[in-house]
Amino acid sequence: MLKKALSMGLSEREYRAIVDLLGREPTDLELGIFALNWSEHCSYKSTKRFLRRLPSESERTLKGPGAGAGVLALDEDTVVAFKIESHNHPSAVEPKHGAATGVGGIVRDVLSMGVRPVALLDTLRFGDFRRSKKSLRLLKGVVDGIAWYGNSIGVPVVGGEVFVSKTYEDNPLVNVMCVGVGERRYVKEGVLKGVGNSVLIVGAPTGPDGIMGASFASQAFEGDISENRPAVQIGDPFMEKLLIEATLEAVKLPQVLGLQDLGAGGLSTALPEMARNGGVGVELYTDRVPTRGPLTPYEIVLSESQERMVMCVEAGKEDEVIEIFRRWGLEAAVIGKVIEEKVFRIKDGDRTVAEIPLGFIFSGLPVPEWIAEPSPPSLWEYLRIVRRLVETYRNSSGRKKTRLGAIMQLYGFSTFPIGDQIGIHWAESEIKRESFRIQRAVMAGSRDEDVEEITRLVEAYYSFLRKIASSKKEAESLLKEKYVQRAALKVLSHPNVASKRWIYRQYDHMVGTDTVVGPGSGDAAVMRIKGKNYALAITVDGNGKYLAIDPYWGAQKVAFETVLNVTLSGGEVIGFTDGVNFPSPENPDTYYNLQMALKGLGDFARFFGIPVVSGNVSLYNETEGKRIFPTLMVGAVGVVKDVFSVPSVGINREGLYVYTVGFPATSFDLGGSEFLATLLEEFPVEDVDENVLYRYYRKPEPYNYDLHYLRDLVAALSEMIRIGLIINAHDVSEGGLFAALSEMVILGEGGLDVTVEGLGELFSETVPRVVVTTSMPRELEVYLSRRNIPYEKIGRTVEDPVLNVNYYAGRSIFLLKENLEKAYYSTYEVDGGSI
Amino acid sequence: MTKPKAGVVVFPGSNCDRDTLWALEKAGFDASFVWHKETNLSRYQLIVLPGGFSYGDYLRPGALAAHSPVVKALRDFKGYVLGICNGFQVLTEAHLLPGALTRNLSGRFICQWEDLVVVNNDTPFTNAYEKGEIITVPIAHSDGRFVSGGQSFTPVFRYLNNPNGSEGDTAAIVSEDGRIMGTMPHPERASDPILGGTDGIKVFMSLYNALK
Amino acid sequence: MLFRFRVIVMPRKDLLDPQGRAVSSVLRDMGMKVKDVRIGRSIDVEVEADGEEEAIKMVEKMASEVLSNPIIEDYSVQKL
Repeated sequence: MLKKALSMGLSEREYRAIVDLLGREPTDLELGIFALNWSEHCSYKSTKRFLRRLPSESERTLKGPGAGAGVLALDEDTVVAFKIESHNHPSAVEPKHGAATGVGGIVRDVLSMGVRPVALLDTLRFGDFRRSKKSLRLLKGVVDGIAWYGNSIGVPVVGGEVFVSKTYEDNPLVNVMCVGVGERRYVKEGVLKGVGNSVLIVGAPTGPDGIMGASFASQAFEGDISENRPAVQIGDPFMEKLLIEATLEAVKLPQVLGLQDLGAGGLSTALPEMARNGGVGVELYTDRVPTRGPLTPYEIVLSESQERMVMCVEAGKEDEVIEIFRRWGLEAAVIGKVIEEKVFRIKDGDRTVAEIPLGFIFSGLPVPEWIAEPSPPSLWEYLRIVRRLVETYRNSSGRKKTRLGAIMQLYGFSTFPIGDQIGIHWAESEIKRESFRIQRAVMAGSRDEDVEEITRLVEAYYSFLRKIASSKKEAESLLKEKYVQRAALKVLSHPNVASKRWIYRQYDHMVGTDTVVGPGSGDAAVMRIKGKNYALAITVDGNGKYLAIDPYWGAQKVAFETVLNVTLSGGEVIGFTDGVNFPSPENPDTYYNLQMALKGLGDFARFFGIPVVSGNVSLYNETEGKRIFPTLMVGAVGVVKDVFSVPSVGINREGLYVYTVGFPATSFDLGGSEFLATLLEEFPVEDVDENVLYRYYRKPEPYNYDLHYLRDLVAALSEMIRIGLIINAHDVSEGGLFAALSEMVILGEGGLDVTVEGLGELFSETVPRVVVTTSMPRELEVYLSRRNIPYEKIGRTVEDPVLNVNYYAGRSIFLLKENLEKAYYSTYEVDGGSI
Repeated sequence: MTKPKAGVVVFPGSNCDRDTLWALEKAGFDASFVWHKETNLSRYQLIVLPGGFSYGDYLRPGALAAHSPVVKALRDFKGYVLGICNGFQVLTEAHLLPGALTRNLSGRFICQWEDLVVVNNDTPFTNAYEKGEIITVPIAHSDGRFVSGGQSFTPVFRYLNNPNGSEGDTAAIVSEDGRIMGTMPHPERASDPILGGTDGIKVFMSLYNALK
Repeated sequence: MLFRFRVIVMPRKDLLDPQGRAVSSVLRDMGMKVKDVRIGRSIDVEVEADGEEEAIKMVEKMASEVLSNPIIEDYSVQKL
């Protein structure tokens, strides 16, 4: 039995706890029920203590975490519900159906609140598909799955993002956020109530699909991925569409008391949860569940068949509900009863096949005690990276040497521990002390280290320092204009920056006739609500490399990015949903990152007064020790009071004044930028784990991330938009200011002529900044000065569709719109429109 | 004045039914939904088969809906019939319009705005347009490549930049008697300035003119 | 030598076949006594090989690795 328990993903400790609780050996079915309820995916056992500290209350909060989706009031009668969910493990095994069922699941979560799903956003992570065939296959399959399912059910995919990194090569991430809008009076919850009332299953019949799927999603991959097969499910978007319509009809009936999606764990997790929420117990009769072919009670209870929901309906009034589902061609059957005794009892005919007190499921789980311990940046590890730079530099000559010297300078500035003079002195003394200690230990025989290796590292480091200290010329003057221009276009065509048109064109982003700003044209999607004078702005963000630099700061950076996106779309954020995608919490460094990331998000949300009303956790995203970036996706929903005031990204008027708002960035802030990554391709450092590489990058100076400052920045931008001071606006994110300016040219008819100070200002991604244009420069400057918000006038808009950037003492990048477009659009569209 | 009555058919899997109803009402119609099992259409002057994925588009898009009771009833219906996207596919599968709609040349779903030329304004569906007028209306389909299979057909809209490989750049056609139109582009999605354009609503306005 | 084969790819028996389900329900609505419908693909391939054994091996390989996805589909090969 222990062996069976382990194969279901339970630990030995958990198995012993089950035997103790029951006072006997569990049956197979009972063991399965425990395994699913106690899986990481369903129990949040490793993260609950941190998630609990996220703020979820606000004046608008109607339902917070724990419900199928978070629900916020929009006005007296109208609500918005939203949640993000991951489907990472299934998508790694079967990308099309894994992603498709992911869409289906989150749509039903939102539907289970009694509202109509109106928008989807997908946020995807892969290895670099330009280099990896496997990643390309995953990307195509996932997009195909989302398009197939989302298009069929008529819920527009209005936004999202794609980010590639080698760390996601074996563990792609597929997160989907769904937003629903509905009437407050029909909002439902996942609850069983009223002893004697009926439990109904509605939707598709149950089949032997994805048995133990949630437990599969809670383990790391080992060995051949095609062996990880048992949990594949096939979705049927047609059924889902019928389920949406039938459910929205049914929730209007007063006898429908509770509603919940059958997702991970199927009946085995949904029924206990609903019973607990209502403070009751539940009896399930497996022989009454409509099935596809003969199934055992074990299969019926643990099945993860898609497109099913559970309802609690007042006894005696079931027929009216059943009639609705039958009319839509769906199954509906009474399969259980609400009972007083707080147990989950399962009967097959007269025979009781499982009986578990609910308290055992919800309070009996031994909380895992993982250790949180950061593995701080180690000087020696850093020196090993530096040594490669120095070796390549030494082995080159002529112009190339000059160029590599410039790149080393930029790298040196933007990394720990050099940065500035103080950093250099500190590092020097630190190295001296440490190498002295190690050498003594080695001589004393108490440490087994290669003295020569240490000597080489230290030598390499000193030569690195000397190189940087002696470079009298700045990198800008050492790098040829042509080279910088080429690198800039490479940045623009990087998968993390380039247009995702090839993807969103495959999604129906207009169905519903509410999409005011769709994918690829604004900082956030804007959805109107017919009959209302306000709209919704929706966005999702989650750049894991920022968390690799620093989990606390990175989480706040991600959250702020979403706030900025919504603000620049004319909205004010009213709620967050968080998608936690991390490696195994059993690794102390990961566990520490997890804790700090959630603390960062919590502190940010509390300060801004934004409730985190829903979320999802996916752990164990690693394969044989190779960890993904610590990835926190943040979805934000905002209210736009005036749809007509939304500033556009594209430049359509000449003679406007162009400003950056926010503190300026310098070469010290290039850490983690695509530009620096592009330059570093000249050094053979690719085989260094990116999780290691990024932890040496410097964060921007703290004043850039002072929460008071950020709040003032957002307030100022939002008011300037409201009073019409801003004509165009775009935030600076992946690809830096250069990418932002390029997009403003690509998406409009006009061009830009600007002057900035150095490559740091042009390409940094970490300093929060926004590009805006105005026809009233004096008013804008007065406005910002009064509020102590730094700004810089960088140029003018021009009639011709070109981008001209003077970046250093007469040096410039000059690009025609068609050059920009080619770089921006071709990455995902080689071979004539298909990758 | 009584408003002309329009029925928007709801198949299992239709997903532009509510959008179409909204656009029809905006154009002045008294519009309501018609369940796919309905066989009595006598109270309507216009029946619209909306976009979507009727019966999941399984087997072939529109193939299963073509056998539904409501489509059978269309054979005796005397009013106007408009099929949008999936509705167009249903009409060709039911042989109420000539030709067939097959997989886009790219093999993929395409959702984007398209420029169209109005090649025929002498129909109840297009009388509000100028002949030769260039309009912009979104498409959203994976099976929109029109092929005539040798049958004669009357085009109404043509693509300027053929996105799917349609024969003769055909985007919309009308039946010989001018009573039935099928269009792959979605006129209801270009019916409000806030959504990026109003070129599509003239289809419904044309019908309103023809029926009032 | 040229050899012709027909590869039939069907959704795996234990997995849901949404397409078959929708088609069978419409056929039933039309009054036909349908118990089950499953929909797959038929793929004809022509291969060049020195002998039949080699040809079969080649087709088996493409059927299992490319033409079908063993996670969700079964295949069979017929010689034409």
